[in-house]
Amino acid sequence: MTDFKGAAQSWSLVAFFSVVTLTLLLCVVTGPDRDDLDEFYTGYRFLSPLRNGLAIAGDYISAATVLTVGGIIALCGYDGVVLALSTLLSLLLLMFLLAEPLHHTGRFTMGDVLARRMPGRAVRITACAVTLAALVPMMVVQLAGVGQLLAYVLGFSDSTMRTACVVGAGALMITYAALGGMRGTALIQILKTVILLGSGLVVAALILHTFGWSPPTLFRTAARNSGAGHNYLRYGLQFAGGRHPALDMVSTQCAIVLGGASLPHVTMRMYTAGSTRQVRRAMSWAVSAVALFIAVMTVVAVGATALIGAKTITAADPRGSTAYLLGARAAFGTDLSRPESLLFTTVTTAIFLTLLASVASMTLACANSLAHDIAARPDTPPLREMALARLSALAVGIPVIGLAVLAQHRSLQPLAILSFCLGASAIAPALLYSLFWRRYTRAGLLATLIGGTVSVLVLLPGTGLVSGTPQSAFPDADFNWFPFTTTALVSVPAGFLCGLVATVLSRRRSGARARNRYEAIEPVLLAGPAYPKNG
Amino acid sequence: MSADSSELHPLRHRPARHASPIPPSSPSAPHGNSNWRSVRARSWTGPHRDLRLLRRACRRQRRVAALVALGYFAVFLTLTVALPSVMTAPALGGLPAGLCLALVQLPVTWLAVLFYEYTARRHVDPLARRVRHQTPHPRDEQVRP
Repeated sequence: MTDFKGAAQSWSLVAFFSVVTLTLLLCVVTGPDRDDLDEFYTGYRFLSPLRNGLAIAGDYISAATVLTVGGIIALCGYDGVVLALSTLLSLLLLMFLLAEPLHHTGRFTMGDVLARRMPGRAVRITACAVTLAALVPMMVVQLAGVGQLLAYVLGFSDSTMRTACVVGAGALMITYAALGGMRGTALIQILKTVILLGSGLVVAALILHTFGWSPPTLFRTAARNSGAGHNYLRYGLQFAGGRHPALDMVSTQCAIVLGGASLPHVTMRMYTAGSTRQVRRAMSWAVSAVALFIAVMTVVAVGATALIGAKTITAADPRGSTAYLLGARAAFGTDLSRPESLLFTTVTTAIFLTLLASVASMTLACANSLAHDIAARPDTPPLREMALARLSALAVGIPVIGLAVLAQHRSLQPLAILSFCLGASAIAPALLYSLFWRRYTRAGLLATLIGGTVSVLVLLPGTGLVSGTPQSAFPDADFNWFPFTTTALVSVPAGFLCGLVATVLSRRRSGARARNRYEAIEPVLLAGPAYPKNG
Repeated sequence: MSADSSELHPLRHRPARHASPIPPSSPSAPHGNSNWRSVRARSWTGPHRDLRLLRRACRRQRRVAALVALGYFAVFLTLTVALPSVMTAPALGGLPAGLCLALVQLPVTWLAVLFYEYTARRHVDPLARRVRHQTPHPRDEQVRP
């Protein structure tokens, strides 16, 4: 019931190739056609709020979310649902707190927003370094996931084939980012969100239909088949082996809520909207789309446990990353008719597209930051800066492919957690402080970015995700000294505190200047630029 | 590198353009040399007043929205971790209360988004429009900082 043989497999292969061809075509056709920086970096703000919202949702629902969170919901029940909810809350907070100020003050990258407040090369270089540090691990997770997914769906177990898949997907991601720019990747994201939501809704409806449209029956059956009984419906399964399960759970939620939406590939979509109202409306669509997807994912993942049992899910993958696919497959029953196998192929294609699209957006965010914040000078001609951005996509992409090939046989969870923790401990405090605190100084900003990053990088290797347990990335070694799974409980306060202390210490020297500068940009920050951004 | 100071001149103070019930400098205000700056910043005219109103409206909206969203989740998480007995009590359809509270968050999120859009359009946008129109002439914003 859970194997992908025969028709489904060949359908999937055909679908994957058509998706690759179609998306490449989209990128070439819609890519920037003039030597205009605005067009490459923001796609001329051409998207209507609905489309922009779908693109934001597409950026936000990365493959790590679908596969990892889907697996945790299927295996741990309640804990996974809470994790999915904190993902949604993160986007909601981005909409309420940061979306409009970011749109008003930013131009292309996070470096632009920070440098608006504190101009200087040091700020831009640090911003770019933190962007890379936060996104590269996430890209490695997604790319290594491509290998796993294709190996699973297409049914090969050969290690060389897997590596070839990773390299091929990596080459595709560089092409998308370099050819398509912001507009090309936005279209791919829209396509992906629509396919993912559409196919997911059908599967969720089928699963609910199986259980008589009664969620309580669904959850009770899942609890019975999960092997954990009533514990499936209460907190504690995910961190059962930890030393402090309660604090561990709070720490993880904290990292997701603060870090999820402040990652640069999500915030960069704020700059592509035309006006304040458009950015607000786009975020409304994005939050609605993500909320819908979380509902779908919960039903499909819980349905997977209810229909085939937790044992089958862990047999396919110990962390349950294939739970979403297994749930979709089980929803169609044992024998697939032709329309059913077509529908199931749509689900696998949606996941494949999710992997490709999210990694392409992250490459674009890294490349933009490298080109715009570090390589280009104020007097660099636009044509040259665009060439630099395309070269940067290559410069980021190739090491990422190498890392993904190295990491594909290890646990990828620490890398994903590293990204979220960096977002929560360095990027979120820096953005919040510099947009809302008028006394914040440049020393404070640098201290926040560097202090937050360093605290995560120091603490994370000591967690149980990296070593010491059978599920960790290095199961043979044991240098596990940090008692929690994620570092957020310590590193988020550290990031905020570094900024606070450095600002207080440097206030005498540069406090008045910082305040004047904030007052100068405050009208733009609150009300937006005096005329709509071009577009 | 830091060549963008040109675009960031502070708002010019132009009291004549906006009628205000309160005269630009109240005669009773102390005009000591020590605090002339704060008196000027607090004058009740034109752009400064609009900006202050906008600042207050934005701040209020942001605070309420973020506190409600974060607050709900924080209470939910605290209950989950600290009082498991409350969250495992059976509720609707025999599901534990915690799971019901979790699933309810999806529609609540949607309502929160609608409410946010409504209040922003009602209370913040008009003020923002006024401040935008008073901003000194469009500066060359597209110059790279």
